[in-house]
Amino acid sequence: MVADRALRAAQRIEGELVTGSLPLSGDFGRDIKQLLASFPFVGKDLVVGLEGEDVLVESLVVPPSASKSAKAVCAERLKGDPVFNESNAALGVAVADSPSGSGPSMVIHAAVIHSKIAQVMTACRGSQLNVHAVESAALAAWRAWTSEGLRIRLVRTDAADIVLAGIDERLLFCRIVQRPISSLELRATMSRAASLLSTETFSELTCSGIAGDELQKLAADLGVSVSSSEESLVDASAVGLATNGAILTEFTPPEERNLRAKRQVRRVRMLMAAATIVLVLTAGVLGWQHKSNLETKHGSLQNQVEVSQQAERELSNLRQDLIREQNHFAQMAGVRPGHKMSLLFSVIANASPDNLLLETTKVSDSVSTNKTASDADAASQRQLDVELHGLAGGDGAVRSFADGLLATGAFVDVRIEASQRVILANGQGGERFHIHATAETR
Amino acid sequence: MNLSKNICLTAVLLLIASAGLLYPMHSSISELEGGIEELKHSTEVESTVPQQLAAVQGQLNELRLSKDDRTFVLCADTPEARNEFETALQEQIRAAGLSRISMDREAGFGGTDVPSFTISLEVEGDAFELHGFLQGLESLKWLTRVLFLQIYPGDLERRIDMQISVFLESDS
Repeated sequence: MVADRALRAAQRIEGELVTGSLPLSGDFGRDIKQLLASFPFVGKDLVVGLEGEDVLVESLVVPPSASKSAKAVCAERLKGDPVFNESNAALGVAVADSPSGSGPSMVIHAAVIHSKIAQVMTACRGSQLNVHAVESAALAAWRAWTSEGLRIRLVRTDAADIVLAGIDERLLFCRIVQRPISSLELRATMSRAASLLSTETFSELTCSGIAGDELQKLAADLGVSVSSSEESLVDASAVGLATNGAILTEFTPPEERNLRAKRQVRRVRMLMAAATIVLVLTAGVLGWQHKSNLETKHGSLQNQVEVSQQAERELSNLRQDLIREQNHFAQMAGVRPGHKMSLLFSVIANASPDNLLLETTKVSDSVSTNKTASDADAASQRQLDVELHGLAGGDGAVRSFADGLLATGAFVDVRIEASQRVILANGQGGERFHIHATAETR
Repeated sequence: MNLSKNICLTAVLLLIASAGLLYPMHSSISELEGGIEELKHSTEVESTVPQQLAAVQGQLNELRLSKDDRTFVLCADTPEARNEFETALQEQIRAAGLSRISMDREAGFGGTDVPSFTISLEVEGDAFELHGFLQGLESLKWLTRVLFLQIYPGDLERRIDMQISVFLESDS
């Protein structure tokens, strides 16, 4: 809070009230920095309250029948004022309905010199402080503590005494008088407040910054109950500024409002960006995990598919091998002779008697001409045609040879195709023969 | 621009930035999920392959075991295998004591559907040598068939003509 001669501040930190005060040296910026450095205040946000010669606060009523608005009425009142005229001062107006509901509107208007506001704002910017609001410190004193019902308070500050009246949290009357206020003036002020608030009188006065004999004297002079506020409440205006609540008349410059809005936007943006980053990171981590799981599964399935494909290729190869082997098997079964030529040769040799000479022997292996077999059998049925030409000595040797061949069981047919009597070299009679034998085979 | 518009603009920008960051991940996740579905389908389709493989392997093993029991094989249809057979045949002629006069090779089917080549052989020898040769021929691992055999007149040593069909492996 900025007063005429001092710079005062208050902050609630974790329920504890921290206050600080420094006399003004003339360099406002340096004073602020020194204040912040000298006391354990936290943060850069503040509400500035102004009091002293540069601030005017008045209470009045505007009847419902008034042709002008409350703000116009207040502006009209200040027109022509050498200090707080329209060009020199900013005007703030707070309008409240009458407590009775049907009476005139209660108006508190405050005016602050433009140059004072500019000076304070420049100093705050120089100290990189975020000004949330600029208001009259006197009006902020109402927020210093809470009470219920119709109440009137007397707040003593370094600069002046302030009489405040209101209902519950609503401040409806304010008057700043030079300290120390006389009992007479206080009584008159209380009467005026009572009339404005549509009540006969106040039964109790709560004081802040006044104690001891003075408090008792006031009680005796006024004839009402006078009590003191909390002991810790040494600077009601500073504490009120540090307390959240409705600001009746705000003097924050438009550029500061813009800056505040920008800061708010920046803060919201930062919060949104941080939230988005957290969400994106969370989604990214979860997505990455999901993707990793899917990749693992995909790889596993790919391996399975490769193994299956390899097995399929192997199956195909095996099937080809199987078909080839089956073909070979069938081919071998089909072409393997059903006889042994050496055995046939032995059979013929063994069957020929000593007095028989085989001059020519011819064996032909050919497809069977047997028409009785079925077509399928005929294709694989073969026969051996054996042509035997030779000479035999003695009678019946050829017949005996032919019978012998037949008796072996190797031939299905043995025929003597030709037989001719001849004289052999030894002068004995003999026989030239031609035997045709047929053996079945496959 | 008032506070709400600023916040809306910020929200939209953050939304776009978030989408820009997260959409590629979403796309790759969708792609992976699609791939996984396809692969699952593939693995379901191919799930019977191991059983089929085992069954065919069993059949093949059974066939090979039965084939191992057989004495003969088909001659591979390669020049090396044919030369190997001819070398073995000449060894049998020599071992039996026959005298070789000529030996020719020609392609053919040996009277069957199975491809083969035919060796026309002219040798000289007696009956015992011929018998020994035939036994030797039958003892070879290759599947052969004597299509024609003629023994010409003579004394002990006689001229013998033979046509021996050697069966070849075929993929058909």
